[in-house]
Amino acid sequence: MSENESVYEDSSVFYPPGGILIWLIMMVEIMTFLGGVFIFMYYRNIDTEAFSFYSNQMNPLWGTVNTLVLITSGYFMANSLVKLRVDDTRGASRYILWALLFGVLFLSIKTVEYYLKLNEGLGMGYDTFFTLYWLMTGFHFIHVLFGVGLLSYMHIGIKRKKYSAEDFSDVEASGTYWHMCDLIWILIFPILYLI
Amino acid sequence: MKELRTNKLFWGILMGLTLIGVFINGIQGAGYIIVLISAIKFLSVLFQFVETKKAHVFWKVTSGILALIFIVGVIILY
Repeated sequence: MSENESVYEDSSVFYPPGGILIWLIMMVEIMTFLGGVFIFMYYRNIDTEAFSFYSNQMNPLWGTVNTLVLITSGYFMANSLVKLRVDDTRGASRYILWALLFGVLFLSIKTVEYYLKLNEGLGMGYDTFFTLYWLMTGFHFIHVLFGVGLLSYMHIGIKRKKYSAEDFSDVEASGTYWHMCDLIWILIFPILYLI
Repeated sequence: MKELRTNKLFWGILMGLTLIGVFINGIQGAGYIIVLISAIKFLSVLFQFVETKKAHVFWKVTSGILALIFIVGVIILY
């Protein structure tokens, strides 16, 4: 049994999957974005008419496709860890590469959406709706960008056999970070594009 | 492998929930259901993909509280 497996069996409060540090970061990040969601909802109540108007201007297709892309990326990341735990580094490497490619696809779609918004003159200073839209999605974009870098590094590490069934804690922590991007998007997507 | 099959099942559920949320958008009162769907998706990713199901009960409860804060907060401000 590997060291990581024994940690799970103990199921200690100090050793959640990926490690306590990334979990603390994840919890703080989620709470911060939840704050953003609540601020958005608060201003939506103050200026319901404008928020409803701009909300209707948002094309939910962009957000929906990006949600499906990010969830699929998270699915590949989860599979990568399953493969790594049984020492199938080839499978793990393949899955993490797919997770990475879907992450890049998310960023590409978002970039096109940003480009179109800016062309329409809907920049950050346009009004409160777009200030909050750019702040929330912009910070999320930066998180995903960092995650893509992290997954690239993990992919190279797995390819070079740096990680295996005996030592995969870095990959696991990176996976938790990647899922955090997914979780944040799940919270902000319905607020900005749907309701 | 069982874990891969479970991941695929959850992936399918998450895809389905996302599409349901989009299709019901615009129906009167759908906002509450969309928020609930998002909370279910949030917990599904946390428990299956992040493997909170294997974590200490403290993290399971904390995850549930975060989802609850999201639901209650958005519904109050809706």
